[in-house]
Amino acid sequence: MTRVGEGSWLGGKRAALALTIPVDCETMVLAQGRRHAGSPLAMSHQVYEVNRGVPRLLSMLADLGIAATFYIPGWTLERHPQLAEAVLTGGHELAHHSYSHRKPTELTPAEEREDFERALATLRSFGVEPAGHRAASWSAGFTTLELVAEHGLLYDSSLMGHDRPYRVVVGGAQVVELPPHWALDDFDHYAYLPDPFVGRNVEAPQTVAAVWREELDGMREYGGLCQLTCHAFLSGRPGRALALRGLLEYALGCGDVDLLTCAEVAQRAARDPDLDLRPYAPVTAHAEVEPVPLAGAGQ
Amino acid sequence: MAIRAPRSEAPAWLGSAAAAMMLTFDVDAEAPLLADDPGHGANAMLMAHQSFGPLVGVPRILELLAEQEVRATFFVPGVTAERHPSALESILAADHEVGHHSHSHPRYVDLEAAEEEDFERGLEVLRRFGVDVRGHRTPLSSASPRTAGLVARHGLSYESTLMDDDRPYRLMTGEGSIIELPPYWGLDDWLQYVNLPVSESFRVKPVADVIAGWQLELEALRREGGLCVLTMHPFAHGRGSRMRGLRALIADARAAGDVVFLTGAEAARRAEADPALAVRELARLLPDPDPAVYPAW
Repeated sequence: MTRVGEGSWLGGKRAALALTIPVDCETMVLAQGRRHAGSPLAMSHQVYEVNRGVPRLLSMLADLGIAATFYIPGWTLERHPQLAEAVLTGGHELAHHSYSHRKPTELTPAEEREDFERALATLRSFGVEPAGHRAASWSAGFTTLELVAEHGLLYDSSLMGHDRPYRVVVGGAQVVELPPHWALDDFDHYAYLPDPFVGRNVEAPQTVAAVWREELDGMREYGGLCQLTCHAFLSGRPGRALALRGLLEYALGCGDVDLLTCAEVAQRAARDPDLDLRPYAPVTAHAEVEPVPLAGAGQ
Repeated sequence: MAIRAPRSEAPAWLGSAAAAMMLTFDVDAEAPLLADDPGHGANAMLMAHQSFGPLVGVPRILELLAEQEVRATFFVPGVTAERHPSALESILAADHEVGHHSHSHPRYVDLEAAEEEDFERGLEVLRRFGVDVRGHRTPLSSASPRTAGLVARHGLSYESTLMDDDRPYRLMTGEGSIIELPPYWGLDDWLQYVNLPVSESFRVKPVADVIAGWQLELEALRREGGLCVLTMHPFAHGRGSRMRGLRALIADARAAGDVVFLTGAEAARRAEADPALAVRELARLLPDPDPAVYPAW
């Protein structure tokens, strides 16, 4: 039975809202093929966030007095170093989001480690010691959180096993998981490119803001972490940023919602003795029924 | 009426307006489907569906623009001009701008030397109809690294394809500079109105949602000072429900009193005269990624 406000990580409020802003820029497209570097359309679509999206969102957040968490791949930071400066100057959190934005589930363990450690080195070259990590495309495998634990990061934000923070047991260590969710990601509402395929849906910003407001109200009843994922090349567009602003103003006006960075949520969660504990191991299929045998197979 | 931020950074190309709106219509007709598969020419439903654009959509759009006293820009492929000359002639007779939209609507990024051939052929067709061609929009947004240079080399002043801004900017190509007037997927009716059993197909959205989304974009741009480039397709937009939505959008924008309607050529002329216009380089846009980091081609 859920008790509203249960869990000290909530700090006496009914819900927490963490605005997360991935700034993948070119990496999201290049991870699907190096050839896309020769597509002015795809590159322009991604680099919009450097020209307009990030500056617009930073200005909005300064207006509202909200700190957000920016997940920026190392490759993007190296190509657009002004992003790190703008995010840090604005008092926001800058966290680990891989080096190349290739999916860990498509890499060998050695490739994943190299990419993870290169991203860490890039962040450190900007003076950032990241508190947390989010896997590219949330495609964490069963080695990803081992890297997070080994390198001493406090939290991960890739898994979706709850709508509150929980702990994942990784060998002898524990990682705080701050679960995102597909419905709270602007990607499935806004993303389209003809090549490479990234999605095929364009919703009106008001529709999306309505979905997210329903989610937040649900979190307020069940005591949850409403972690919004707003890509700067998508939600940084003028009308969408205005709709997001309306939602954030609603959250601020609720009075029972804390607006926090992921690091702040994770620090609270790390002190909370009542978080769920989850194992970290692949699930084994039942060979006799999974996959479902086809009628007549084997005859 | 929306509250406006102080306009200390208002760009000169806007003049006294808070935002500019550019109504653009890509009169594709049959071309994109035939470029995809010539066999579609034998599909009576598909060909009829596409002919709706020049035969029904364009006259309705021209009537609406006359009623609302605004000018628009029509991007017309060469093959469409040849198949439907009266549509092109009626657009020109109503004093709207006609822009270049390739000859046969192929994916330019897939072509090599054939891109220039297609580009020149489409340009030649429009000029044969007496069009003073000032601008270009790449078919299927499929700009190649060569496209912007072709636009500059052929003496056109602007292109409306790339999506890295919501204001005009100057794009330096290896063959001269042009003005980019950036469109965007969220402002393109294809993604919310076009459902076909072939080609790029999407789920049909209610007109009220689409128009509300576009109105929110215009409101945001009025606060900041920007260019709202709407991209519409007469075969999709000419339906009564969507024409009614567009009429409301245009009428509301006019009633706001601070939105200026510009053709592409007008927006480009204003942008060219703005000394503070952003300048970007095509070469800088295209990275040269390390194959060790991005091994997949």
